[in-house]
Amino acid sequence: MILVALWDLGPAAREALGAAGRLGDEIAVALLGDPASAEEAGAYGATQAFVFDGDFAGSGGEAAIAALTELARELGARAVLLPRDDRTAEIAPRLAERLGGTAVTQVVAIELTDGRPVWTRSAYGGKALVEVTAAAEPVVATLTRGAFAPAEATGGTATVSTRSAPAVDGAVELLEREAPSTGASLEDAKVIVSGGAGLGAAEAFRELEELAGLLGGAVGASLAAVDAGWAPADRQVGLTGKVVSPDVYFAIGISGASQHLAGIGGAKAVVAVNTDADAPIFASARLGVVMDCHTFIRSMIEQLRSAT
Amino acid sequence: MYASMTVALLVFAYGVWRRLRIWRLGRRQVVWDHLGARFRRLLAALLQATVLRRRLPGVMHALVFFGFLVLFGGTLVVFLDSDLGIKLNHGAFYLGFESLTVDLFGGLFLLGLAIAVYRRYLLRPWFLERREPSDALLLVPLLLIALTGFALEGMRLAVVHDRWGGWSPIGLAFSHALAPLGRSGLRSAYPWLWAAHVLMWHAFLAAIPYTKAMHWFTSPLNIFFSRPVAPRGVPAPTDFDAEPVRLGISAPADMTWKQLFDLDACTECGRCESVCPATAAGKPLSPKRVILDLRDAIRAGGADAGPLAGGVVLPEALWACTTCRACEEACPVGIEHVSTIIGLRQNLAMDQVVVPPGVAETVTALEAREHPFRGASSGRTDWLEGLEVQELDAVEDADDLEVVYWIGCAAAFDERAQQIARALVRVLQHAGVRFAVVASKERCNGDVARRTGNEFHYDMLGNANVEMLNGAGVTRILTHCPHCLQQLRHEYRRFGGDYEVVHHTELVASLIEQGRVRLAPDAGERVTFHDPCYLGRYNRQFDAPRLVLDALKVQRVEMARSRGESFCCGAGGGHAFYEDADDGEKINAIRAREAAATGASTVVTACPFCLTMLASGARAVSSGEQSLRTRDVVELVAEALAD
Amino acid sequence: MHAVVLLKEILDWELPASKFRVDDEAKRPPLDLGPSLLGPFEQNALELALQLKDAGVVTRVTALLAAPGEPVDGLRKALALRCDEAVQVVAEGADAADPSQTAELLVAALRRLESPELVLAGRQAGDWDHGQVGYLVAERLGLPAVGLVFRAERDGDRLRVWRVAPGGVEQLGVRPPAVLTVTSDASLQLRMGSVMDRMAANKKPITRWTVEDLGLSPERLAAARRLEIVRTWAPEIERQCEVIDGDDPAEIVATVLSRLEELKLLSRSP
Ligand SMILES: Cc1cc2nc3c(=O)[nH]c(=O)nc-3n(C[C@H](O)[C@H](O)[C@H](O)COP(=O)(O)OP(=O)(O)OC[C@H]3O[C@@H](n4cnc5c(N)ncnc54)[C@H](O)[C@@H]3O)c2cc1C
Ligand code: SF4
Ligand code: SF4
Repeated sequence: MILVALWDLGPAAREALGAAGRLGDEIAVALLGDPASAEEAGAYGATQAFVFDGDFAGSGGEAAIAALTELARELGARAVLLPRDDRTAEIAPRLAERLGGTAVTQVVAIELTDGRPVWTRSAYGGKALVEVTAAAEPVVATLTRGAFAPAEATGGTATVSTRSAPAVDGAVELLEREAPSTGASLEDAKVIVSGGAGLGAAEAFRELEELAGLLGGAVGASLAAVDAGWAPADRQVGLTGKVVSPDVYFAIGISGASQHLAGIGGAKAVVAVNTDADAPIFASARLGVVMDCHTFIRSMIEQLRSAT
Repeated sequence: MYASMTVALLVFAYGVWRRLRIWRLGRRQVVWDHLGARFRRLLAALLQATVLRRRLPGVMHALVFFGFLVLFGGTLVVFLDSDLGIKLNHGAFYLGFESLTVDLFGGLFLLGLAIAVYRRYLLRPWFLERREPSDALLLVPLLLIALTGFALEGMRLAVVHDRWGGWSPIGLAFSHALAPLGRSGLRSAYPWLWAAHVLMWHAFLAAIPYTKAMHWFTSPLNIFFSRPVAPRGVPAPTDFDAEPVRLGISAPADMTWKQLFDLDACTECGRCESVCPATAAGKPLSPKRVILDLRDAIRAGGADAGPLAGGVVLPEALWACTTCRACEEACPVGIEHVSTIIGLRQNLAMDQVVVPPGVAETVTALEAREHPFRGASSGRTDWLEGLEVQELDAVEDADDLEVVYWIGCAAAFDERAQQIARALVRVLQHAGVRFAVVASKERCNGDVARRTGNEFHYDMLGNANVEMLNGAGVTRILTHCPHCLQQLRHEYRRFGGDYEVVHHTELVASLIEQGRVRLAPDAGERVTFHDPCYLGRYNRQFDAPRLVLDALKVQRVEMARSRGESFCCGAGGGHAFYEDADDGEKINAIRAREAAATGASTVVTACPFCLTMLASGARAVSSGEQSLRTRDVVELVAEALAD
Repeated sequence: MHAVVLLKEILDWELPASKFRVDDEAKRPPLDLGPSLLGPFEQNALELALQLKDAGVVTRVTALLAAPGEPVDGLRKALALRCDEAVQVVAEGADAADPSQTAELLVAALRRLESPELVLAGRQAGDWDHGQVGYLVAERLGLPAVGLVFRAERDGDRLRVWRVAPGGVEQLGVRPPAVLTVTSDASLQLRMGSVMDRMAANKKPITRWTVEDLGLSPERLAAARRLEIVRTWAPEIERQCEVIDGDDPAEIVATVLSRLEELKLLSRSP
């Protein structure tokens, strides 16, 4: 049995179900968020769906880990798959540890060799790929966005059962939730204008916002720009930020460190703007401009303004 | 009269002693080397050569200076003659010197004072202190003393009808003016006025150490004490083995005595400020204020004044300095601002850790990667790709080489600067120069660390570089970077690095002269040369790049400020790697505009950092149409090689 | 409160892909590929610990690192920034690529350290990118854990921590002893430190514990291993960049826009 832990049935979830299909075993889905999608899970190859109701946000990751531990044990799951994001980063290793198994993070491919799964994961910010096998089962794997073909809808159905979230001790408690930063969502944007350390100042990000507005897109940032305090953390794109897949990704004043590139592999075209013609970003770009970013941004804003 | 004289001298002596006490707080600093050069500078200064570089204030200063000197001489003669009985005052000497010369110079003195009053109170240049009473304190008594002197001479002439009165023309004029008062009136007023004149003079004498007039003594001495030859603008080294370690300047005792003496030599003329690029760009730095604020704080607080770094002089001011040395070059009295500014920065950086974010990042990067370029994509040898150049590592005997080419971090990690290195390699190969590159063994020269006050990191880099170079038996080094030049040529001596170092403009100029570089230039382009601070003001190399340009048959035009007066590109002092508060125009934009004003199509320079700065300055000031091209000298040479 | 920061030195993460190589035999990049540096999130964790100490929430900070061989520069640096103690587990016989073995060493060291109440780790070390060690340590010590924290304050008898979550920032209350994994933030840029402290740090000792010192048998360590590396390689990137050149910036920008329209990736009509 393969257990897939999901919060909704969005694109990341369908990719996880697609990956689960590669393991050649029966698939169960645990839904910890949106119960309405339980029925639908069957269409993507799951035979069982477990819907949890109750509060998962109130205790950090505790309740989710406890629920999944219980369920995985009960099902005797060989593997638990989760889409990789800020939430599952903290769940996967702890879940693996409680199950006496192995966590494999940042998985980009799964191959069965003699019936045994070989997991390919990225390391060194994407500069290396590593094939690993796990010494102890079950494997709890987090799957990189965009690495797996999403499961196709087949019209199957799953038996749905409902459970309630387990009670956990109050070591961690949610006190407050702050609204995410304003602006178009990065995950859905068709155009992203992203700025890096080369922008040099917070003011330049305001210009980026204007540009994004004119293009109907969203603003992204490199870690260096977030670290400098020019852009809020939830605008970060990359290995430890958002993984995005726009039509056009403008990388402005971004050197193209592998960890940044790890977030933009899904973009149809990257446009690199950098003063350094040797910057690695050009190796991953469709179009390249060797130019001062401020000149570029201003000129672009002018031309788009005069066009409308 | 003797009583008042004694009192005056005592007060004078006390004032001098108070100053001495402060100077003696300072650390040792050697100033007895290069005596010839020191005396030449002193002489030039006494002949008013430096101050005369500025027209009106220069003339004013020369008039007052020479006028005062002669008047003082005249007074001395009277003193020797009548009080000590050494009979000098008779015959031709009396007429020629004591009457005519003293009289005329007295007139010039008055004229000089009049110009000073006119300039200070009517012209009011922006860099002269406003609301500063000390100038009036100086001007008014001097005017009074001079006027009473003439009045006395006039009275004497009016009373005795001296047959030789014509030898004192101005005195004579006064005597005509005073004649209506009548002989007896004048006769009875004479002793009073004389007493007033003498008392005023004594009072003035006593006040000297307490006023700006002190600079009559401190200025020439300071000129003598200030370093006459390169290297200049170098911070005092830090001894990290000392107990306790002094990390830069925080209290007066952390300064050298010369740095303290500097403060008392300042005449508040404002020339430093008027040439400072940071001041011009609207940054919160004025080199003059640095000196005067330190002086006032130390006068008020003595040994306990402080904290000097960050307190008396604000961090924003200290971080704004580009270490360009324009202030030192302009200062008529040899004040050395830069070593003091860096000393204060050292305290901010190493002790208080009050640094702009860019400096912190740069130093961290230096420590981690041994170069200051962040987000750098290339390695130290990438630029060599496709060039047939041997690395020092592969050389059997370094003595077989004419030079070892030190690339510097800019050419290793900055794509634009790599073009300079590649052009220079082409020129060297064309001339058949036997050379090797250091490339993979180089570390940052440490200039960025040192100029931002991070002497600790600088020491590590400098030591490691010297160890490597000495280990490889390197003696002759070529570099295209003036900052590397300054380090390798001068500042590495401290680590035991003693090399013959040439800048590429120097080498190329001599290769052209020897006929080893043959040129086929397309004549006629109009170019202007920007003197990099660390090549020009630091290393006094103004001619080599110009000789090369002339050999290229370009039409060379000079900017309004060039050579020793060149205006910084804005990169020095680590500024290539960090931004500080800037409210006004950027320094590089000011310079680019100046270059454009010459009508040149290309601004040529000889420093990778100047090149980058001028290029972005040119972009910022270009109004859409073709902007100014920026090139390194050697790039033009490489383009013009005859094959 | 005694805080322990788990540190790690990694290969310079900004080394460009074009310079990255893998030693096929060792299944990892060669050691001389670039400098070893404290990873960025480890730096953030260290900074957070130091800030908690500045704020008086924490009274003592210990830097703990597991690595084979000589004393590690990163620990010197931690001392220079006024960590109270630096401990290196001399990790002979353990594989740095295996998070479970690393956690085993750290857990043994943490048990030996005086009652640590707060353990701070980076969210993920930028060499193997596992992002596991902090959480495994928490599980094995039976402590609660909060991931991706970028700010912490005292809130009565517990800590209030700010952390990145999918729906924005969450503020959580957590009662020590606990483990936090730390992510980057503008406020967590590692401080520079004074030269005085740095020179003093050169004289301070770095505590070194061997695997035996920690009472870990080779068998136990071997049993802790979870991952077997089959193969490591550096994927090729093929460059297909069309560089748009020209003298006039406006023209270049216009070309970029029209090329994107041609490629049907952008439409300018709103
Ligand atoms: C485990 C780990 C996870 C990471 N996760 C992420 C992540 O999710 N996202 C991420 O972005 N990073 C991440 N990083 C950090 C990453 O390694 C880089 O440090 C970071 O991406 C660099 O950001 P940058 O390109 O903006 O800055 P830099 O690398 O400093 O590049 C700045 C670029 O701007 C250019 N430039 C400078 N001035 C101008 C100008 N005037 N005009 C035009 N261009 C100019 C320069 O040539 C340079 O190429 C991670 C690192 C680690 C170790
Ligand atoms: S060195 Fe240059 S920038 Fe610094 S104070 Fe002097 S003139 Fe100004
Ligand atoms: S430092 Fe020199 S140039 Fe500046 S005001 Fe004083 S005397 Fe004039």
